[in-house]
Amino acid sequence: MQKTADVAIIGGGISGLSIAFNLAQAGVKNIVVLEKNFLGNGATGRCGAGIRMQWGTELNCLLSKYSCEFFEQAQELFHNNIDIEFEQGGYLIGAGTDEEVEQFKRNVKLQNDLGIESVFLSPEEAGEIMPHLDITKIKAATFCHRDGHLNPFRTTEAYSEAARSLGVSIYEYTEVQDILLDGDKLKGVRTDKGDISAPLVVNAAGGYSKLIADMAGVDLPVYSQRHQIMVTEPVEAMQDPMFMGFSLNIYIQQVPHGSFIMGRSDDSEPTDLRLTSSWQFLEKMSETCTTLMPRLGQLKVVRQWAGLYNMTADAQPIYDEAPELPGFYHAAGFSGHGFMLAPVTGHVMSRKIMGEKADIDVSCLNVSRFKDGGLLPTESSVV
Amino acid sequence: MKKDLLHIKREGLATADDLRGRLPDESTKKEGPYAVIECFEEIPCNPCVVSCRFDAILPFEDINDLPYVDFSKCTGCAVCARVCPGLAIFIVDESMQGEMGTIMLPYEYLPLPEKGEQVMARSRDGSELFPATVVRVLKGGKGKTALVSLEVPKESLQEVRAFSVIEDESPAFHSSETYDPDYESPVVCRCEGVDLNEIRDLIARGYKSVDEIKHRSRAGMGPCQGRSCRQIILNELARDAGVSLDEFEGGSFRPPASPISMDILAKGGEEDAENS
Ligand SMILES: Cc1cc2nc3c(=O)[nH]c(=O)nc-3n(C[C@H](O)[C@H](O)[C@H](O)COP(=O)(O)OP(=O)(O)OC[C@H]3O[C@@H](n4cnc5c(N)ncnc54)[C@H](O)[C@@H]3O)c2cc1C
Ligand code: SF4
Ligand code: SF4
Repeated sequence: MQKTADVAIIGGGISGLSIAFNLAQAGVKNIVVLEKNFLGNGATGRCGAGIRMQWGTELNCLLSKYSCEFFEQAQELFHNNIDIEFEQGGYLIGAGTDEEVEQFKRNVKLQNDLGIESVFLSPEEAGEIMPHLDITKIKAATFCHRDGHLNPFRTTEAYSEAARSLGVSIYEYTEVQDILLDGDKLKGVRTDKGDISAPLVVNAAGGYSKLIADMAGVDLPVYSQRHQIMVTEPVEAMQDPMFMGFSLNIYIQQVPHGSFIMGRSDDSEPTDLRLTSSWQFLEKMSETCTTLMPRLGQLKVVRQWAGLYNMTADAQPIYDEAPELPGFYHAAGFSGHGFMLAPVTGHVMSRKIMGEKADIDVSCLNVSRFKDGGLLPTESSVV
Repeated sequence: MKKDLLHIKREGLATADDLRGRLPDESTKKEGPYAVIECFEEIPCNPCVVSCRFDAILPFEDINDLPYVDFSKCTGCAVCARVCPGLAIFIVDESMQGEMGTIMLPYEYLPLPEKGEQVMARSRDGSELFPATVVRVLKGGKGKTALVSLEVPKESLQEVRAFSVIEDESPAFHSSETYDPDYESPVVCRCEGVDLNEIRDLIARGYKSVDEIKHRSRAGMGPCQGRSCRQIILNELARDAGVSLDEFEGGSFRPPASPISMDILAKGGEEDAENS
C-alpha cells in the first residue's frame, strides 16, 4: 500500500466515492479511499436509494435538485457505461394529517418557486397514479414526476470505476484504526495495512463517523440509529412511483426487478451500531403497508436487513472542516438521505477541500451550528 | 411446513416415510420411467408444474405448494428435472428385465462424466454406496440442468441420489482451462438466472465475497435465498484466491428463513405449523 497521499478519504460509501471522484475530476492527484469492508457495505448498499426533489426547506430542495440533475446525466458525467438504473417514476407523497396538508401546500409552492415541477393532488388524483393505494387513508398528496430511485450497487460501482479511471486508489478491506497527529497538527491515518501520511483527511465513514472523529479527538455531534428495510418476492410491474408518507411513516417502491422494497422509522430502534434484524419490524412494517395498500398483503416477504442512519439534531448533514484540526473534514450526519445527496456532497466537499467556492452555499451546514444555537429549521419531510 | 416434514428442516434429509405418496405403486413402476420429486421446501417455486407437458404434476393452488406426481400421466420425459432449481427431481426407470435399473440425476459440476465412465454412487446424505456406470449424459445449457443416468441395481434405486467422479491421479479440481469454451455457461442461481460466466467475470473484476457478488449479480437474492448458488460461488472464490474453502465466510443469511406473506405478518405472524 502507498505510504503517502494528498488526500485520504475514510469510507468507501457513496459519499467518500463521490468526494474522491469530484476531487480527481478537478485535477487533485494522489487520492486514496480507505474502506474497511467492501465498497457500499455501509448504509449505501443497504438503503432505499430514493431520489427526490420534494423537500420542505429551500436548502434541501436545492441540494437534491443538483443531485437529481447529476443522476439524470450520470453516464456522460462518469464516462463509463454502467447503468445506474435511474427509474424516474416520480415520488408520490401522502399527507396523513391536516397539518401535513397545509405543510404540503407550502412545500409545493416553495418547490415550484425553485423550478421543481411538483403538484398538489387530491386523494382521488393520487389514486389514479397508484391504483392499489387505499385513498381513504390519505388526505392529500404531492407528486413530482422527475423523482425516482436507482440501483445503489450499480451507482457505487459507477462512482468507483469513474474515480479509479481518474487515478484514485481505492483500498478495500483496509480499516482506519487511528488518526495520526503531530502535536496538534494532522499527519495522516493509521490502517491495519500500514500508515499513510496525508495533509488532508476526510471523514466519510457514515454510521461510524463519530468513531473516526473520536480518533482525531474532534467533536462530531452525530449519532447512528438502526433503520430496517424489507423486500418482497417479485411481481409484475404495478407501481411506478416511490410512495412515501411522513406521518404515515412509510416509503415503498417497486424496483425494476419486480420486488417491493419498503421501510419505516421507529424511535425505539437502537443507537448502538447494531445491524441485526427484528421480527417487530417485519410485523409493524407489514401492518403499515397493508393498511395503506391492502392488495400487497398477499405478497411474501423474502428478505429483511438493516442499516444505519447517521443523525444530526436538525436532520441535515454536516459539510465542514473540523475547527479543532485544520485539514480534517467531515461529510457526515446525512440523517437518512445521504444517498441522494451524493453528487452534491462530492461537489461541495471537493470545493471546500480545495479552498474554492461551490455552486451552492452550504456554509450553514457547519459543525458549529449545534453549539451556537444555530440549528437549521428541522426538515419535517423525512421518514 | 407440514408437521410431519418438520424434521427435514432440522436434518435436511428425506426418509422413506417422507417418500410415501411420492412413489408409484409396484405395477406402475414396471410400465416405464417415472419422476420422483423430493421437494419439501415450501418456497415460491413452480417450474416443474408449468414445464410438464403431460399435466403429470398436480396443479398448485398457491405457488408455495409442494409438487406431487400423477404417475398415471408421467412419462418420465425428464423435462421437469431439467428445470428444477432445487435439483430435487430424479427419473427412475425399473421397467427393464433383469436386476438393473437406471436413475437419472441432475448434475451441476464440470466437466461432465462420459458415457461408460465409472462414478461413485452416493446416498442422500452424500455417503458412498458403490461404483456405478454412466449410461447416458444429457448436456446442460440454456437454463437447463445437465442430467446423468447411472445403471444401478433395482433394489438401490431409491437410495442413490447423487454421485461423484472417481479421480485418478488428477488434481483435486479441474481448472477453468479445461472447460470447453463452446460449452454454454451453466446456471448458478436459477432463481435469478445468473450463470457461471457472470460469476467468474465478477470475480475477475475483483469482487471478493459472496455478498459483493450477490449485490452485483442478484445471485442469491431470489426466493430460495442462495440455497444452491452460495456454495458454488464460494467454491469459485476459493479457487480464484487459491485457498481452502474454510477461509471464506458464507455471506450473510437474511431473515425471514422462508418467505411469509405480509397479511400474516401484519396479524402478528400467527401461522403455526399445522395450518401452514
Ligand atoms: C434502511 C435505509 C434506507 C435508506 N434510504 C435512503 C433513500 O431512499 N434515499 C437516500 O438518499 N438515502 C437513504 N438512506 C441513507 C443513505 O443510505 C446514507 O445517507 C448514505 O448511504 C450515506 O453514505 P456514506 O457514504 O456517507 O456512508 P456509508 O455508506 O455508511 O459508508 C461509510 C463507509 O465507511 C466505512 N468505514 C467505517 N469505519 C471505517 C474505518 N474505520 N476504516 C475504513 N472504513 C470505514 C464503512 O464500512 C462504510 O462502507 C437510507 C439508509 C438506510 C439505513
Ligand atoms: S418426467 Fe415429464 S411427464 Fe413426468 S412429471 Fe416430469 S415433466 Fe411431467
Ligand atoms: S424446487 Fe423443483 S420440485 Fe420443488 S417446486 Fe421447484 S421446480 Fe418443483
